[in-house]
Amino acid sequence: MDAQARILPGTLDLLILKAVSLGRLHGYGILLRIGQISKGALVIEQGALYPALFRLVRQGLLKAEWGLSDNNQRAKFYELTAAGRKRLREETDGWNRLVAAIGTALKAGPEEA
Amino acid sequence: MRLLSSVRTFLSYMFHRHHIEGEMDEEFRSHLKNRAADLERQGLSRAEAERQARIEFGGYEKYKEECRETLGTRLLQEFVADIRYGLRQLRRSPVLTGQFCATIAIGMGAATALVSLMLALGYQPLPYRDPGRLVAIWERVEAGESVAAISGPDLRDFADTTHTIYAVLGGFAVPQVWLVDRRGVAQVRACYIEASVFSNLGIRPVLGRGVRPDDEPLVGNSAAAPAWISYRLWQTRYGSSPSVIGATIGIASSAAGLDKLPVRIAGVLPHGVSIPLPFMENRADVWYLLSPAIVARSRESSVFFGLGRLRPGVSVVQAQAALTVGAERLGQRYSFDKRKRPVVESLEAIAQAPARQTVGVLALGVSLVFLVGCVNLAMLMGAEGRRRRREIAIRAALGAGRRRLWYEVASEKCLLTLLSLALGVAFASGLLRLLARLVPAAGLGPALPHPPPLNLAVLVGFAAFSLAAALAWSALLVAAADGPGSSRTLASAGGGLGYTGLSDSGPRASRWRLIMLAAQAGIGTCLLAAAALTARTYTMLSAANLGPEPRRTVLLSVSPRDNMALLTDAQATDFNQQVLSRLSRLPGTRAIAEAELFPPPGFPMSFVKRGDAPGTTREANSPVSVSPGYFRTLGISILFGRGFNETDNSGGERVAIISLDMAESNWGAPQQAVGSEIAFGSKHRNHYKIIGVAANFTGYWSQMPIPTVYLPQAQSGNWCAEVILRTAASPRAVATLAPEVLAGMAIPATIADVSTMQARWQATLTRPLARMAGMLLLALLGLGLSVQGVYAVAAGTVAARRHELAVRSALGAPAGRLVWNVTRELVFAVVVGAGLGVAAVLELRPLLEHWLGQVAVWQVGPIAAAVVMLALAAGAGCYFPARTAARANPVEVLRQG
Repeated sequence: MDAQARILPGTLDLLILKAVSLGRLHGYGILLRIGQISKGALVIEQGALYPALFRLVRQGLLKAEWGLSDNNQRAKFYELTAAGRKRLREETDGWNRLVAAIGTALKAGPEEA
Repeated sequence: MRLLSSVRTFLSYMFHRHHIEGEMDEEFRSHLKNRAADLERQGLSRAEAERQARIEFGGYEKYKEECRETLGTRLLQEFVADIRYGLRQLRRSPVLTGQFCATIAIGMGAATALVSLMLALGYQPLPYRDPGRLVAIWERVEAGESVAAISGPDLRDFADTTHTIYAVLGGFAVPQVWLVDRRGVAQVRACYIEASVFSNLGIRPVLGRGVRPDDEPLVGNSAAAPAWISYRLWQTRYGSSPSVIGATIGIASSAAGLDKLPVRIAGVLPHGVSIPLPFMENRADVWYLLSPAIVARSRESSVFFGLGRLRPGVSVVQAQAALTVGAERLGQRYSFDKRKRPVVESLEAIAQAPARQTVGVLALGVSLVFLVGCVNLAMLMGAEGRRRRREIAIRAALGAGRRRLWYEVASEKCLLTLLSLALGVAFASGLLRLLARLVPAAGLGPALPHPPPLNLAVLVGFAAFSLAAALAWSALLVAAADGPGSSRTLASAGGGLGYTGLSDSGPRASRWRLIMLAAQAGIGTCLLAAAALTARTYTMLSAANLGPEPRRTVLLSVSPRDNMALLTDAQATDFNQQVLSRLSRLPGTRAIAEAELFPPPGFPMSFVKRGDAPGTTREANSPVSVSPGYFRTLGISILFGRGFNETDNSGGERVAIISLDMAESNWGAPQQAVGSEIAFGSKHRNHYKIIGVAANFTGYWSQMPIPTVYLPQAQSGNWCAEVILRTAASPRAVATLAPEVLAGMAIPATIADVSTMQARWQATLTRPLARMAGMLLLALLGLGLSVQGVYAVAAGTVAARRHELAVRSALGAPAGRLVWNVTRELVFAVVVGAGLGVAAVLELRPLLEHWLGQVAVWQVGPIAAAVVMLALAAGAGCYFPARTAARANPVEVLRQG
C-alpha cells in the first residue's frame, strides 16, 4: 500500500505557511521542505503550489522577492509576513482542535453513545 | 482592505501584464530546472530528467491560468482575447460588417433623431400653468360635426357631477362688444371669464393686479367692475401708459353704446395671452369676470366653453367617460337637445394637432424604416449564421465549451453593435441638428433655443434592443451549431458529395429567405409610395394660380384705426375709395383692388335662384365684397357677362359676379347664369342679379375651386380689409411708403400684415413641405436599406446554393439556365412583395389622406420606379454570384465545402 497521502483540500496553504516559517524559500524549496517535514508522507502536485503561492502573496500572508538560489539561478523567494505568522498560529490552533475533536470522536465507544 | 488589495492587484496586472507574465514563466522554468537537476543527480539523463520534471509539474498553462485567476485577471484576459477574436472576425468579412453597421446606424440614427425632435416639439408647453392637465369642454351633436358651445347651467351641472375628476371646471364666453372711452367707440372681442379659469390658467398681469376674491363680476347695477386689458390694446389704444390702471371705460353690447356698463381697468395681461382655446384665433382685448346671471341663463343659451383642470392621475379618457355619464343623467332630467354630447379634449392636444399631423406622417415613415432595418438585420444575421455555423461546430467538436463559444460570439456581436450604435449616435446627432434648424422654416413651431438633446430613453431603448438581439442571436448561433444537428453541420464542413447543408438550402430556409425578400420589397415600396403621395400633395398645393407677378403683388391689411363699428355704409365706401386712391399713387403701381377678405372665405351659405321651387336651397360660399379692379389685379378672367364698374354703386341695381364652378353646378350652361337672379342672406331676402361669371380662383386652401359670390363693395357697404396692389417697384418700397401716403386721412387708417402674394402663399406651404422633406428623407433611407437588404439576401441565397449549382453544372446544366432559375425566383418574390406593399399603401390611404388632406392623389410612377429598383437589386444580387457559381469548377467548389 502506498505510504504517501494526498493532502486534504484546504490544507496546502497551511503547509506552505509552515514550510516558509522555517526559513526563506523559493517555490521548489517549499516543495522539498514540505516533503522533508512530512517525512515524504504528503504528495503535492508540483504545479498546484504556484497558484497557492500567488494567492498567499495576494492575501499579504507571504512576501516575495527575487534572489539567487544555491545553484546560482534566479529564483523567487518567499518569506512569512507578520500577518502570515499570525494566520499560521490561528490555522495551527484550529487544525489541532479539529484533529483532537475528530480523534476524540473516533475513539468513542458504545457506552458513550 | 481586501477589495482594495484586489483592485490594486488587478490594476497592477493591467499595467504590468507582460512583466508579471514574464516573472510567472521564469519562476516556473526555475522550478523545472531545479527539479530536473535533482532528477539528473538521481541518475536520469538530462533529457529524461527534463521530461520527468515537466510531467511531475503538471499542466504548465493550466497552472498559469490558475495563477492569473488568483490575481483576478482571468476575466480580463478572456475579455481581451474575445475582443481580439471579434475584431479578427469583423475584419474577415468587411462587407457584412459594413452592412450591419450601416443598417443599425442609419435605422437607429434616423429614428432617434426624428423621435427626439418629435418629443421636443410635442413637449413645447402652452403658456399656462401645468398645461398638461388642462382640458377644453364643449359639445357636439354628432361625431365629426363642428363644436358647439355649452349653456351655463349644463356646465354647472357637469362641474357638480364630476368634481372628483376636475380640480377646477369653469367656463368662459367670447362675445363681440363695444368699448367706449374718451377716444370713442371700438368693437373689440371680450372674454367673460370665471375667476376659477383665470387662476386655473395661472395668468399674472404685467401691470396692475390679478383677480381678488372680492372682485365683482360685470352686472348691470354694480359699480365699476374690474377688467383686464390685453397687452395689444394697452399698446395700441393707450400708448403703453401705466396710468391706464384705474381708468374707467364702458362696455356696450351695441355700437350706440346706450347700455354701456362701466368697468375699471385693474391690470394688463402679458403679451400673447389669448382666448384659452388654441383654435380660436380671435384675441380677446378686454377680460372681465362673468356674471352669475349670464351663467344661469337658460339651457338654450349655449355661449360657454368649458375649461377644466384634471385632478392628478386622471386621464382625458376618464374625464370624457365621467362627463358622458353625467350628461346622460342630465339628459333624463332636462328635455333640451338630447342629441348633444359633451366632448373633452386635452388643450395641448388641440394646440399640437397641426404639428401632430406632420409628426404622424413622419412616425409612419420612421416605423417603416425601423421595420426595414429589422428585416435587414434578420437577413444579415441569417447570412452570418450560415457562414459561421460550421466554424463553431468544428470548435465545439474540438472541445470548446458552449459557454466559452457564446462568450466569443457574443463579444463579437456586442462589439459590432456598440460600434454601430456609436456611428448611429453620431448620425442621429448630425441629423437632429439639421432638422432643428428646419423647424421654424417648416412651420412646426418657434425656433428651438438649442438643438434638442437626443432622447436618452430612445437611445437606451435602441441600445438595449440591439444588444439583447445580439446576445440572443449569439446564443441561437451557438445552439444551432453545437446542438443536435451539429454532426450534420460538420458533415457539410467536409464538403464533397456528403454535403447535406439542409439548413442552408433546404426548402424551409429558401422559403424563409423569399418571405424576407418580399417583406423588404413591400416595405420599400410602401415607403416610397407614401413619400410620393406627400410629394404629390405638396406639388398640387404649390401649383396655385397666384395671378400675374405674385412676387410683385403686395397684400396689405388696411383698417380704420378707431370707430370701425360706427362707420356708416357711406363712410366705409368713402374710406375704401380714399385708401385705393391714395395707394394707387404709389410709384410703380400697375393695378390695385380691395377685397373684404382675401383669399375668399370658405364659409358655407345657402342661396336660391329666382324661380326655384319653395324649399329648394343651394350651396355656395358666403359672398365677398370686392372693388372693381379686383379681377384685373388678380388676373381672373370674366368669362361671361361683365365685371364690376363705377355704376355698380349704392344707388344701382344689386349685382353679383359668381365663379365658374358655381355657374356650372347650378345652371345648365355657365353663360345662362348671366342675367339670372339669386337670393341669399337672412331668409333669402337679399336679391342680386348676376352680371358676370368669373374664372375659378383655386389654390389657396384647395385645388378644388370654391363656389364664390363676389359683390361690389360700393353696394355692400363693408369696408375692405385687404388691399391687393400689383407694382413695378419693390414690395419693400410699397411697405415703407404706404403708411406715408395714408397719413392724414379723415378716418385714420392702420396697416398690418404687409407681404407679397408669393410670401403669404409660401407660408401656407411650410407644413406640407416639412412633411414632404421628412418623408422623402425617410423614403430614401428606407429604400436604400431595402435595396441593400434585397441585394444581400439575393447574394446570400445564391451563396447558399453554390454547391447545388456546382453539382448541376457538373451534370451538364447550361450556366445561363442555372442563373435564370435562381434569378427568376427571387425577382418574382420582389415583385410579389412590392405588390403587397402597394396593397398596404392602399389600406393606409385613408390614414395618409387624414394627414395629407384630400388632395393626395395616387401616384403610379414612383411606385413603379421603386419596384423596378428593387427588382434590379435582386436581379444584380442573384445574377453576378450565380454566374460566378455556375461557371466555377464544380470539383473545386465541392472540395472547398
